[in-house]
Amino acid sequence: MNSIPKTRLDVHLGEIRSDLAQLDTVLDDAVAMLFASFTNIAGLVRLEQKLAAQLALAHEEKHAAAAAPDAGGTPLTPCVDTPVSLLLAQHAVLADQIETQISAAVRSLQFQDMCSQILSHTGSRVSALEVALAGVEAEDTPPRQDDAREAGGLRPTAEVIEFPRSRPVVQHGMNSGEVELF
Amino acid sequence: MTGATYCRKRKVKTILTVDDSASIRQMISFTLKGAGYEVVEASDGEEAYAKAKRNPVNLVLTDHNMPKMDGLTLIRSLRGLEQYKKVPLLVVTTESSDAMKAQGRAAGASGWLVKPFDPRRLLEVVKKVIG
Repeated sequence: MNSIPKTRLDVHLGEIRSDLAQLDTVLDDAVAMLFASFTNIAGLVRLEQKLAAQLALAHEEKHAAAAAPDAGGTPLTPCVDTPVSLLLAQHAVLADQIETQISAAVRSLQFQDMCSQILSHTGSRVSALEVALAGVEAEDTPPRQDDAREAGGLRPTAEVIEFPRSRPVVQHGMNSGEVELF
Repeated sequence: MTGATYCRKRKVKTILTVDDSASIRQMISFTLKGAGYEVVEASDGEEAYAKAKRNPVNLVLTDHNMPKMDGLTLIRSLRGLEQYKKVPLLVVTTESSDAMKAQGRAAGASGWLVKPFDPRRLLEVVKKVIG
């Protein structure tokens, strides 16, 4: 039986294993980042809600103080200790932090495209191997009597199809890629 | 200045995003629409070329590895159109090799963004090239 040279098989199988390992890393990274983003967003939104409540209260007190007639009595004790300007500044910081977490989530969600490309590459490797192994199978089939009369060159040979596709994804995680303007 | 006058003067910029991955198109649209841009989507180079020719846009963001027509072929085709001689055409792709970038530059690309893109960085670049 003619067989595919072991080294060529090893190359294809090695590439497939490498693709699957890369896929595993990308998925792990993406899910970890997404989980972190959602957890952080949830925490920040709760903080923002508290801040919004404080701002609303401060606003109400301001209006109440403006509307109340000057009776010369004890001034109202404000319920909100923090000045409005500071609350607004805190709100701006929280908003920025939420945006940062949303950006991280958007980056993570791109894992679907990357995984799809890695799987397509793996699929092509598997197809190339299938073709090569089918060639080996054909060669293993004993020739019929009339086939034997033919001169050499008509029986299929076990040629491994060279794999032309380079890796479409080289990243091994979800860190953002570089940007270059020409 | 009235509101209507302001809107007419401040024309909303339109960006064409081209990618065979629906999730990438969603992420790019989400990012750009959130910043006030109008976004048109196409799932391959052929569809993108037809849309871009019919309704000129201010910027094209295209993937490279796509069925029917790849990104660099799209860029070459668009550069052949008078209205796209000077429009920024950026590639957004997983490919990061110097050889590919050189091919992109030769095809007429204005820049190269490697996936996964950072939304804030994408917005910085978009603002830089079209305002």
